[in-house]
Amino acid sequence: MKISGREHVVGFMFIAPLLILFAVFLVYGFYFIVHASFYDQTLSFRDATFVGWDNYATALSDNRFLRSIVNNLAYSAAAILISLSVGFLLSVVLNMGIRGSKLLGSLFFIPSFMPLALIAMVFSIMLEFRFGTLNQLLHGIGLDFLAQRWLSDPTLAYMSVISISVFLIGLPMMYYNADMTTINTGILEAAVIDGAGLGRMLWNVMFPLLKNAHKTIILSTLLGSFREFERVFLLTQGGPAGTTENSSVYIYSFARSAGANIGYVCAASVIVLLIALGISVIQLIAYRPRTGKGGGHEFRSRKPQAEENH
Amino acid sequence: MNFALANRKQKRIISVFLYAFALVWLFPFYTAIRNSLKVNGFRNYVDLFTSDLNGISLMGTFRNSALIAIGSTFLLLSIGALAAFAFSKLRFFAKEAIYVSVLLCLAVPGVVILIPFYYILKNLDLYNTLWAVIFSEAVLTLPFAVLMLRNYYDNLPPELMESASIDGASKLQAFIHIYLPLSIPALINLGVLSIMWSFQDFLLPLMFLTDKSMLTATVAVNTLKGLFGFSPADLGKFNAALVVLGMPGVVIFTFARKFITSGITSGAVKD
Amino acid sequence: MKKPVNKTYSLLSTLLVFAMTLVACGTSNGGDKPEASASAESDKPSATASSEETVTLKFWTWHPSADLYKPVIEKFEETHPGIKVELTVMESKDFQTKMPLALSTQENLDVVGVQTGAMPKQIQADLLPLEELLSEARPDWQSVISENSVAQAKSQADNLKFLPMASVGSMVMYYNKDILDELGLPAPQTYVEWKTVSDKLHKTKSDKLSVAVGGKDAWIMDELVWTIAGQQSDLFNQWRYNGKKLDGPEFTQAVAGFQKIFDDGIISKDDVLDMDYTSSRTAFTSGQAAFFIQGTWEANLLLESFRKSNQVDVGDVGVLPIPAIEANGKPSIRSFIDLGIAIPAHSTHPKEAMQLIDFLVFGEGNDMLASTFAFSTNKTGFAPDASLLTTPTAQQSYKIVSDLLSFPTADRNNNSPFSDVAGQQLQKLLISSQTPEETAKSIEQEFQTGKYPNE
Repeated sequence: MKISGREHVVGFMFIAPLLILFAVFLVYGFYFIVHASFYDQTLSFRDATFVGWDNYATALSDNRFLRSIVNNLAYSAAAILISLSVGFLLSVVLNMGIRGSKLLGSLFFIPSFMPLALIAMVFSIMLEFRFGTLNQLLHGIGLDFLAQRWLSDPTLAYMSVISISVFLIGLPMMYYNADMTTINTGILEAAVIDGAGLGRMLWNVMFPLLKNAHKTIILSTLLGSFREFERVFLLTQGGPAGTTENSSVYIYSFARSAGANIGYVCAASVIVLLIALGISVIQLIAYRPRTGKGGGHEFRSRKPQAEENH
Repeated sequence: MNFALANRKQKRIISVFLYAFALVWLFPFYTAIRNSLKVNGFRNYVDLFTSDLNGISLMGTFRNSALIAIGSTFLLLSIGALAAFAFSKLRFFAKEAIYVSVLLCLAVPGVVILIPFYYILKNLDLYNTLWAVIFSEAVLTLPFAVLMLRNYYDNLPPELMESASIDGASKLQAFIHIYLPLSIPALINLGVLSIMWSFQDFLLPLMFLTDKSMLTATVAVNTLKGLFGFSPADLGKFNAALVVLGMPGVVIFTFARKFITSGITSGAVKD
Repeated sequence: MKKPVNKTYSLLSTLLVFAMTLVACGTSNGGDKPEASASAESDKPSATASSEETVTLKFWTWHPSADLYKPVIEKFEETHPGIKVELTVMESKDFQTKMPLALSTQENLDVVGVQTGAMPKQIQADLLPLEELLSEARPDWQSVISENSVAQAKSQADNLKFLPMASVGSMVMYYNKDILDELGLPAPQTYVEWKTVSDKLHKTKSDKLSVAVGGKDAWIMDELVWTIAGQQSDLFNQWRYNGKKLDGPEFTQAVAGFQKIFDDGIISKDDVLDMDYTSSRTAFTSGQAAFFIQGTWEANLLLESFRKSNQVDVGDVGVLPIPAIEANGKPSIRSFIDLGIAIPAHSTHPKEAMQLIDFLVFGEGNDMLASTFAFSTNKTGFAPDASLLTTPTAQQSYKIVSDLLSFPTADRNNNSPFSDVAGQQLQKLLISSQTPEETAKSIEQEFQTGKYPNE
């Protein structure tokens, strides 16, 4: 059926506010960083010099930058693993009718409601080697050998950043809980009657049944991975020696320093933006074949998990 | 819902592990509260509200946070609902292409867009007003809002539209009188989510609000750290501020958990 | 059939307008609520009358802390009726980001602090040239401030764009005399004595830390290494002004010296690498550490009155230079003018702003701040009230700080963006098997990438 001119107009009227806002902020914003990335200039935007691809060459030859991008992906991978293991187990266990489940459930959700900035600050106070409460506790109960340099040993600093994902387990649990309401308990009962043990029930029966939730969690975590900021910035400052830095902290460190070349910041931003958009494209493609009609809108991912970091 | 997956003995073992895990879980909370009582005990909390915090009013930070949350949520809901309805129920040129482009922006990182936003806001004379954060937050959250609301409208029968047009109602009337009321549950979920995200936001208010009278609660934590002289007397106060600034959000959003959960997961599960 | 479209349009615009007004109300509420912009003056009961004629100056800076500024600002308002000051003190890093942003967005500021180093060149286009205003306000100004400090200020920007309130130097070592007395050891003059203190602390299984220093903040590590380099030569100046390379033997030696302090256990890697500025300071002020390495701007720790009012848990505090690492080294610091103060080009009250600057740089305000030992002034002929220094340690220490500041080995004219990066390499040296040579090389290499401003 041909669409009449009036329909076009009406349709665009509806999306006009969205388009205007996006044109002013995002479209112009993208143009701005691409344009600025070819210049050498400061935040005052005076005296810009054209430098061609120099800023890109500098960014791509900086190991620190490349490592920060890898770190993003590593943190996402860890978050996915934690969600699919700890998050999955907790959600199932909390639905087995154990006493106090409701209270515990609320408890596990609470951190997800808190600003990540606060959580990261509390963790950084908690994990200090000398005066942190964690090590003080470990010394107090005689487990001195466990008191480690949580933030200044590169490997442990990674673990510390990742540990916040465990604390934020409430988000994946929401997906699992929602998905579990759709499970036909008849299947489970049949499996129990067949003599399936707890391990098999969890791994062979429950886990596959929740594949929609797994998928949503994986995709939303990936989508949010380049939005991460506070977790690293306020916990380790990217340290020790820049090992835990992610792309946001890297870019921010250049954007904030006095007299910095904003063109360089923009070149790094363009690279990161392209990767982030690439992830979005993969996501759209991943969902497209499954949709029967109406295009890509059955794309079911929710808000990126780390949305609070934008 | 109860899954009869385990026998009684297994359940007992599991609950031991579960409670142990919960204990570890509580440790950061314990840390925050214990540190907030250091040096001067509960007086830290009293001082926080009675003494001069370098001109920062804690209540003021909450008010700023609230205004930003309300403003950006309102923009998000109104613009998002209109657009989502159009993408779902109307036909127009390049609809799917525009929709997909909007979805692509789901992954745009805040830091990347910081400098252009700064430049744009500066030229719109919005820099250092609450508007700056309201707009930026709305822009970065809109792709999600459109996605979520379109899913919702897609699940509403198109027949409603047809019956409306037989009655001679315009598209707009159909939207306002039929679809908008039907989508109120989704709007509530989205609204609660948006308010929560806005409260949690750190980077945008940090960069776009430089005046201390505009501080938001989340950024205030960071600012207070810099402002205190960091003698022992200040340390307790700072830690108390961490607790005070974190609490209201926790309480509010714990009560609104139902909406947050259904907001985040709505449509994630096949019906 | 145009009707529906018009309706659509009008509804859309109504919605948008509604949204905007709602938010606009919110914004204006947020902007001018009185308690939100409370400042030093709001505590004064007399601050209400004749508000039409009152000029309010917006003043942003980063040091000293708001507590120290408070009586100074009160005094200024008392002696300058009709002028109010709304002071905002930010954390240093925060200030480095936000103040230049505020200037370039033409925010309504009247007086701003200026950090020396990379900042003046970055913001000078947004600052008012001061000379004319200054000679109106105080024609004889050049006779009351040290010549050298004015020359340094002029070298930082084209023309006189800011005036320095003081000179500061880094790094020095504050010590907790209580702990040293308990150990029966003197304040360490040499590296060996320094090591003896930390060894004895370990031996007695004391729960005290030997040195508190903010190892998590990369710039602090950079300052430390430059202080060590300064014990041998003015390498910093040669690098900063004459383009000398950092991968040569001099800088490598400084890096090796830096590493040695950690290898000898005087500074414990484990303990300090996750401490930032504030937590290292807290460790010292709560009596948990024998030494605290930081700049001379922390010298108010010498004052008993300051310690009392801030509940600092140390009976007596002294200052020493960091002992020379090499046998032929000379303990010293780098120093430079700092705490610059300027008038933004967009200020609507430049005359009143100049009065505040005059008060803070040449007038009583400067004396008041200098008496807190938060900095040492460039005013000629200023002597602090000796009665403030209540112990022999404090008196000696004050003299040591003054001498160090008078005879620095190099300028503390930091390239702060690069400082953060060089510091990261130094952290890497401490946590990996990287050698001092490799560290010096990679610092030089990083500098050559051109990512950092170098003027």
